[in-house]
Amino acid sequence: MICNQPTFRRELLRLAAVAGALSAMLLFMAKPLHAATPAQDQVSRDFHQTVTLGAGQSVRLEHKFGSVTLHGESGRDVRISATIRAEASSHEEAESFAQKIKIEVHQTGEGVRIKTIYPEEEKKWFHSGKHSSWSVSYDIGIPSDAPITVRNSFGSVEVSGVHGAADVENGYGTVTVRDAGAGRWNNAFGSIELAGAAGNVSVSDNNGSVQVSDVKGALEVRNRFGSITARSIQGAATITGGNGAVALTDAASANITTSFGSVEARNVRGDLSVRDNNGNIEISGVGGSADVTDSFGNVGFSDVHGRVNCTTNNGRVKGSSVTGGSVTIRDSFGNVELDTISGALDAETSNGRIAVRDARGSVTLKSSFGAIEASNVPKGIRAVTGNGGISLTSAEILLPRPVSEVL
Amino acid sequence: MSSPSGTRRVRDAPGLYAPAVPDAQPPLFCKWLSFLPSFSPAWQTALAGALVLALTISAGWFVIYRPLRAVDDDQSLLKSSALKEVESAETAYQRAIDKLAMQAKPQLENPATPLLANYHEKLLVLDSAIADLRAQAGMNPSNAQLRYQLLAMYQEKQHTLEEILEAKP
Repeated sequence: MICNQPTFRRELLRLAAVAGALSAMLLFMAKPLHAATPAQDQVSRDFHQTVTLGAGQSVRLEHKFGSVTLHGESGRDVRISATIRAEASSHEEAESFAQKIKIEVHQTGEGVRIKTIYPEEEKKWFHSGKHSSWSVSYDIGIPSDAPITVRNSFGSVEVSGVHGAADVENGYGTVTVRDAGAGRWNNAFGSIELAGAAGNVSVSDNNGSVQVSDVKGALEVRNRFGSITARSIQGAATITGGNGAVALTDAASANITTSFGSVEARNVRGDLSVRDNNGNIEISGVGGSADVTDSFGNVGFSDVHGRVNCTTNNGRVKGSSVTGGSVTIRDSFGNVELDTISGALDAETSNGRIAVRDARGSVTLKSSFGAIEASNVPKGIRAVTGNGGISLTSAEILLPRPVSEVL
Repeated sequence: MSSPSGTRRVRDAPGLYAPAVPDAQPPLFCKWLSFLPSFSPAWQTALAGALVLALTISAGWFVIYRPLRAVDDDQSLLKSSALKEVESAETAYQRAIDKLAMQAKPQLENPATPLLANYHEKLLVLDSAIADLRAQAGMNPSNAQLRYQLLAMYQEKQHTLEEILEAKP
């Protein structure tokens, strides 16, 4: 024995005292370790539930604060995982609130409805000035053919591999879609990015950018104050913009309307219609006809295989390689430059110069206060100007004679 | 260091136990613990009981709170330092916006072109969004999504006001 017995007993008790003191210290230190800061404490709680979805049944999610991720899987299970996070001025308060946030999973004949329930009393209590916060994020695996309905307010929505019909509305946050089916995707103040849809797609946004690609069906896009970019649309594209740029590449046909943004359309296999007010328009590679109207922007077109009808007020018009149909240009205060026109050409501007080269059909050019230049116009030209020179090279002049002069 | 009186008394009592070798060095851990004062057996028992209680409470605390884990690298809720930075950025945006709004006020009150009217409409939409987000952020202040969206709206409003001033005829 190293110590005598009473001493040993005392020392053991002292050892126990030290151990106890250490454990008490741990007890008090353990709590701050969980705290984000000395003032606030965050906790999180996980939720998991799996339910089986019948054939033809849908999944509906009603949510408000937090991100939503939905992904298609094989099988008939709906696997719901959620993380509930809460913050409050003490761990107990945060924990209490986290425990009161409920996730309601209802199975009906129509399918599965998932809803986040926030405790009303706690919300009122929060109004009284307590510094508390919360968020719930979802990760849900669903049968890939299941139709989905998602309502979210403040958070991102991400959907991938879900080929059932989709109806998604979000408020403030990004919407990201990969490998989807037909669907309607709405957002208020956040971007929408969709890559790959097997059916018709409708996208609507208020103040965020919209990017859509690889749509097997028709596409309809509305955006009020954000840009729109669309490419590889197998069906018709109908785009309504407002105050953002519009860019479209590869579509069966297109109808584009916007107010204050530029429009760029390339490789439209069928007809193209563009209406803009205050933006430049640039189109190329149109298999059908092109109908373009603008007010205060420049218009450029090239490689159009059908008829071109272009009206603008205060912008330059520059076009080339119209191989199939006639070209009609109406401008008010801009120059007109045209090159390689196969069909009949009729161009008129009030206060600008008109320059034409290689126009193979009949040509009629009229300018009130600008010069007219034309070269290589084999089928003849009718050129009228009020107050400018006319310069013709390799052209047959047709009556009536020009008002001012012919050089 | 002198021995405590109680210890001396016990040691001096005859017949209680064989005296230890007076000059023997006490074991290291005995020495280590010798800084603690001596207590009567009743106090020692009470102290031991208190320690057992503390250990039980500690274990219970960990068991009770085990399902709720601390939020570590998650970004859903802002930490206080990040929240302060966001609030500071919001204040800076608000100041910049107030200045720009004063400059753009004449154009917005009487928009001379359709473009200015459109900008005016856009500002109304942004103001509505900002009001909505501020109301929500007031109730849920550390929610990162709300704060970042609010910042984005402020940024968009500032950008729009700058565009209006650039569009000045």
